[in-house]
Amino acid sequence: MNNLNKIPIHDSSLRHSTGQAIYIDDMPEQENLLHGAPVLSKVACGKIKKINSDKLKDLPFFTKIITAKNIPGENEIGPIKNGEPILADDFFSYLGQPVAIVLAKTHQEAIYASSLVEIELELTTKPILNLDDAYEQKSFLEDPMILEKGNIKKDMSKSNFTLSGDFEIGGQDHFYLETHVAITFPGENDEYVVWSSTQHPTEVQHGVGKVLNIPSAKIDSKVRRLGGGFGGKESQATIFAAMSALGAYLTQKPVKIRLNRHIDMTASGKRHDFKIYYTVGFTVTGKVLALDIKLLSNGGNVLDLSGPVMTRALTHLDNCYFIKSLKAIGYVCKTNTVSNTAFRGFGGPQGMLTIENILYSVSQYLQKPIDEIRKINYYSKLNGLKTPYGQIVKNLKIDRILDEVYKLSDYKNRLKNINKYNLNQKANNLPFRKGIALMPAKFGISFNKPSLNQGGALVHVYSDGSIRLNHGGTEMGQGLFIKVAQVVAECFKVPLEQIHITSTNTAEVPNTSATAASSGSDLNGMAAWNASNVIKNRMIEHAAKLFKKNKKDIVLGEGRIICGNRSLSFSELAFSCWENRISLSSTGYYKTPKISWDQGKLRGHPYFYFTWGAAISEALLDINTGESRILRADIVQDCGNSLNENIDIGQIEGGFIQGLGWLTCEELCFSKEGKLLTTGPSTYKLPGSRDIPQTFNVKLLEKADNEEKTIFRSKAVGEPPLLLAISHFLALKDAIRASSTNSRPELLNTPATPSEILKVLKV
Amino acid sequence: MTDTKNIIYINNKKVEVTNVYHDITLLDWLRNYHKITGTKEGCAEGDCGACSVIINKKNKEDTKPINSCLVRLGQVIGSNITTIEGLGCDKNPHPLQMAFSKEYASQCGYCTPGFIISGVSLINSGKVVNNDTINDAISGNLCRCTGYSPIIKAIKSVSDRKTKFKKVEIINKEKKVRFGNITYLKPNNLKELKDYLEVKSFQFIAGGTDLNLQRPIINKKENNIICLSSIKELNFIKKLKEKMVLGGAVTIENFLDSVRSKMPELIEILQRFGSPQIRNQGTIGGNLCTSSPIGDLAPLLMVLNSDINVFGKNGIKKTNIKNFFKGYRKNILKKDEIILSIEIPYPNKKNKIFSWKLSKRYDQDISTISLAINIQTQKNIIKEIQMAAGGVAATPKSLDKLCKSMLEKKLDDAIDFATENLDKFIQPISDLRGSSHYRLEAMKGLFRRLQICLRLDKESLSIMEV
Repeated sequence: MNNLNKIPIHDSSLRHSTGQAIYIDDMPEQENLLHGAPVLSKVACGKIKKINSDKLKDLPFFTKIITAKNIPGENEIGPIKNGEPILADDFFSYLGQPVAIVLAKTHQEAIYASSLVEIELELTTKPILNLDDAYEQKSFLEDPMILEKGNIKKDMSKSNFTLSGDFEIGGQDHFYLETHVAITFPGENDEYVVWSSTQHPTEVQHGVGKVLNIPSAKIDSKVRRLGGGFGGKESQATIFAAMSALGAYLTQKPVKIRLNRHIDMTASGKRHDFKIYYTVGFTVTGKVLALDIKLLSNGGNVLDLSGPVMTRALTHLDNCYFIKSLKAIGYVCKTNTVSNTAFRGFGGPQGMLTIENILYSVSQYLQKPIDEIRKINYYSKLNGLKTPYGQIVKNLKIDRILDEVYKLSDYKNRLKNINKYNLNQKANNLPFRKGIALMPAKFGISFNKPSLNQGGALVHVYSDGSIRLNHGGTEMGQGLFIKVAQVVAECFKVPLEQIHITSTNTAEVPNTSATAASSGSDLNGMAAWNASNVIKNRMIEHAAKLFKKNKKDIVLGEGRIICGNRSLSFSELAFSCWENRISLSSTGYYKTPKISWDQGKLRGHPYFYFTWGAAISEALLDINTGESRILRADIVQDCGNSLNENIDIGQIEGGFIQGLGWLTCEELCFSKEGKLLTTGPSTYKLPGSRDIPQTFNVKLLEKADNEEKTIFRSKAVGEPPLLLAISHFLALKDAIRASSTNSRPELLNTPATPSEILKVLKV
Repeated sequence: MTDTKNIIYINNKKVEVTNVYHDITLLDWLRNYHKITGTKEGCAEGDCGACSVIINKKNKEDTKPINSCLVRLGQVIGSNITTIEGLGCDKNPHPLQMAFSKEYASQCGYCTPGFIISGVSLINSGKVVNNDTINDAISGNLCRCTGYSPIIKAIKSVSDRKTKFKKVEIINKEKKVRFGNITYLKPNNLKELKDYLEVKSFQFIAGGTDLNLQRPIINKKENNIICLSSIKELNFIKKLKEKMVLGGAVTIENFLDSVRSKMPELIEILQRFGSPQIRNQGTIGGNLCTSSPIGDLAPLLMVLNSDINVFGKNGIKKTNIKNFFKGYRKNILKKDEIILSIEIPYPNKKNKIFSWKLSKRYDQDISTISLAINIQTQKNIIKEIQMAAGGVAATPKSLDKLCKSMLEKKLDDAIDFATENLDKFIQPISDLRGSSHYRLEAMKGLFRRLQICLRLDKESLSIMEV
């Protein structure tokens, strides 16, 4: 794309910097606005006998309590299956579950009043708080998912060696800086306008409609920007938006729900923690012949999106490797903890960490470098190109990516130096060890469920030539709006400034998909392109009439419409179109081609294409204290023909650091009763600025046009970089391996906190 | 109501504080009463920095960032507050705002104003602007989107562009401020303080960075809050011949600045104390009075044999810091007593001082354990040793018995003894910061670190230095 041959900055960046960007909580408040605060359950499961709000009566200010009994429609917002209430009714099933909402005139009064509400309850069963207990008690949210390929028995017995093990993969809080927030404004004739910090305005619209028993057509769901999403506001935002709508319905006043951090972290879902049990069969050279594996994921108290998360974990277990025979069973466990949800990567990172951990163990067993094991297991014409779920891996880019990342990182020399360094530390009885490791990655792009792969846009050209752009995607910092605006500017060949970017709104583009699965620019970019082209063609047709020439003689360029040596400005042509009664508005629609999926059999062609990437990280470890850090990272990522290289690099850097947090310092701690103890940044530590690699090289794969026909042949970028941080986790394992022969790096769980590291170090 | 004359300057504009009926934070007041919404709430516990503002208390041109979520409105009456809006707007942006925009340093943008406040404060501080000082300046700011690289780049790119802040004349003389049931009393000296101690019910506050976390959301009963920050007798730093004496209300940041020349051994632990925002607000006296088992400063002050001067109705009494802590978040102070000052003797030149902290994250994290050591060896024999640890008991703990048994031993033997017998001297608990096992093992690791440092004559041995 050559739109003005420059790489535009984020459209809101200056307003971010000056504090003028308006988030939901910054919107002007009406005089009669009420604030709501949820009342949370204080034990992990039980039966509600009575919700006692007597103490509210003594307060010197207005309050109103809302419970499930006040819901006019269904108490139901499950995105996939029913059984997911916004307020617990008779039973509650995790510690921190909302059971009521208290409204008051200020946020402070609402929070205070909510703390006075008492829940009288009856304890029923013992809560299930970990994955092994759930598995033993067959506490599942769905039938187990089985992904099977080849003949596992035969190939296991043909293997020279088999190795069994288990490990845990920790969860992760999204920690978007802006907590969940929503305001609902009631209007006449049952109309409601809901502003919420959501990645999925349409689901908010549906959820609110269900809860209020009002048709979708009467509900406008809007969002200009989110203060971070990362998947945490895909389905979860609906819960809190529906609460605000319920308040607005019952009081007929605008109602805002803004969660404070502690409530946000307690009562909204996180990345699924997993426990993995595996047996792997391999040859003397390390070729994996058979993998028998059981994945337990913590779905929490209700299903939410846990099914598709497990599907993605299963379909990313292979990563870049051809596995001859595989039997993988995914169990979505039901526990009495908050329901886990989408989080950047959506199960993919957990699946890929699983196979990398296993290959690491194989390499340790065979006393070989893991890269040697990888090399003979990569997808290739020789090994095979068919994934366990049946899709053929096309357009392999592993070799190219590896070449580049090895070069970029000066891998060979550094490996030598690191070995020397470790020997020197050992010889001098010093405590530091280093490790270096690669993470190659293939990531499937498209929602696994084909129906979600559609996008819509609405473009208006006004008679002054200005262009108003609207589409179904949401802006959460990833730069989607500027990318789509670039597409429209390129279509009309006008300066980017001529495109006006607007809030996502279900009233303008209906029936949208969540901005998720890295698909934002693929779906909405193409939809906006299609909408713009409809208008452009009408304008060209009109211009041809004006110039009395053929359509093919008309050229667009730099804000002008040119025909031979004559030309019109874009605004002159727009005005002329209006005068001549030519429509300057169009919707645009796009659906991803070529995809199919049988969820029952876990077979099909779920991904339109794959993105490729690789990272090499160097880790440093203090064997005395378990402290560690990343020293350097080199990344090569395939973004196709990038729509905006700087925005993409921002996604890669940010995603990588978020992945580092997941794998190292971000630890969710629960009490024995199931209470989340890490409910704020004072106890839940995400990476700070000193935790990033001092040397951090990020490169986009050059001349890498997407072979599939995506918007300008670009590729998705949102999720894949996160899991490249696995390179650091593997480098840490290497450093642990270098500490002493008694150490047990294969037992290292995530997050690799100092405490976890000291557990496996035997000095 | 007496609050009609209470003034706060926001971005150099004089604002009367009126119609506030609850004890609210500065952040709430800015956002909800004035709709100055560039300052964001990210966590309301002083850890994310989205609420950062610049405060100027004494008509000076200093530009210190603080967390507006961790300071109550009553504490900042009479101050000049600069918010992100005071630096510039899209039509006329501040150079750092422009730099953030150009360098792709914002993605979702929610943390951005806070980072810019921190960045501007650094640039104006006169410190050299490099990776290290930038990392320190933004250690109290979290960004979840960018991975920080572009933020660091943006700050560097305008490192010479100091901001000129207008001096405002702060005329506020009110010593009493009332919000609903809460009255703030602001004594300027100890004599005034004594008079205030006669009120029926009261609570002291210094910086409030810990106390304000446990602040009641709404106060049902009348209470007085006596602010210690402006008492002149608590605000001094004296570098005497033998020791340094610091007033109880000296901020951690000023403490940090004052030790650079005389006691450089203290720099690392003070640098890792919270963030600039916390250090500008939190005080030495406050840190000791919260009496947390971690006690960032306490272990170090213990091994330096510091004394605490306590001021009360009946005068001043001196106590050694080892006798100060009485139990989990308990100390010897009576309800009407405060820490007047701390006396820190300069360490013996023959001794070596170490102070280490282990946490999940290097910056802005609460220690899992910490260890301070004051040691003298001669020919590899331990001649003097004092050690104190945080995070291993209900209070910061001086390891006197262990030290005694290490005395006059060969260093290597003493370390072996300490690691083999550690569980006889400390019995740490498991909590969300680390298991009992980890605390013991890591403490042994710190002993081994000590061994190496002495062997190689190194002042520290941290992964951050590699």
